[in-house]
Amino acid sequence: MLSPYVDGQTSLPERRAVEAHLGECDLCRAELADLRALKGLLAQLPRREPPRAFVLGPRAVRPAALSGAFSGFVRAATSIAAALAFLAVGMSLFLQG
Amino acid sequence: MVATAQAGDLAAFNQLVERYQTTVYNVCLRMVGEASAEDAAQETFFAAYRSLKSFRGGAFRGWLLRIASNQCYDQLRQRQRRPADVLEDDAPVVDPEPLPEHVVLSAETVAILEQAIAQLPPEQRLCVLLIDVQGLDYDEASQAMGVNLGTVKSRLSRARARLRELLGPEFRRKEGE
Repeated sequence: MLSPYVDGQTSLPERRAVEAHLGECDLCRAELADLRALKGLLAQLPRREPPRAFVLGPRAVRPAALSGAFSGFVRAATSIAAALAFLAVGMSLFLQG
Repeated sequence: MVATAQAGDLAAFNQLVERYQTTVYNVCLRMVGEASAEDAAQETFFAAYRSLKSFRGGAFRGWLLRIASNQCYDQLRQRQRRPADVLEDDAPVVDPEPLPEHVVLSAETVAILEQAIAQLPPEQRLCVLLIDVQGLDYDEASQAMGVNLGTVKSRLSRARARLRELLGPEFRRKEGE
């Protein structure tokens, strides 16, 4: 309960219970101080600059580039469709003759 | 800006990238180590662009960090290593440049903290990075982690307890300063 208490994430009754307990418990008061100190340290960890920008170029968001597997499928499907269309034309010519 | 980006405006999306890339990079850096952080961050933004339409409002940063978290977990799973290897095998996270003046922590303290964080199990590590390092509140952290509030609370509590164990006497010394 102390961890959420340190972050102000306890309900009012919970907070009252924690504070009442803290009034009479040295061990928990020490732990509370520890938690606050730890939070303080972690909050001061330096923000590293990224080695480069991560903006997307227009080439990067072309469908082919976004998913190589997908574009392979599209190419395959396109050639199957073309083959079927050819077959359909051939069949209709045959049937007419 | 998010709406414009969702409508397909790449420039608008890239403005969002510029706003959040340092945060995303820093989370990735401490989740997967320096060697893989760049890839994880870049993949995050690719994935975010692809799935922009699924953003339904709320904190964009939380939504973006959810994607970043998944990228990091994927990377860690692929490696199938213990969390402690994150720093051992990759280049050290602490860079040799002197820290800017406004930073109070010594380079040594930073290294000790980062080593301890790297030893946490991934879910606890993420929790501490989001809330204690990046300053997200519990709600946004819940969104980024994809878990409910109760899980955030308990995970954070365990993570902090574990960190205090790992830091041990070093932590006590810092406390006294």
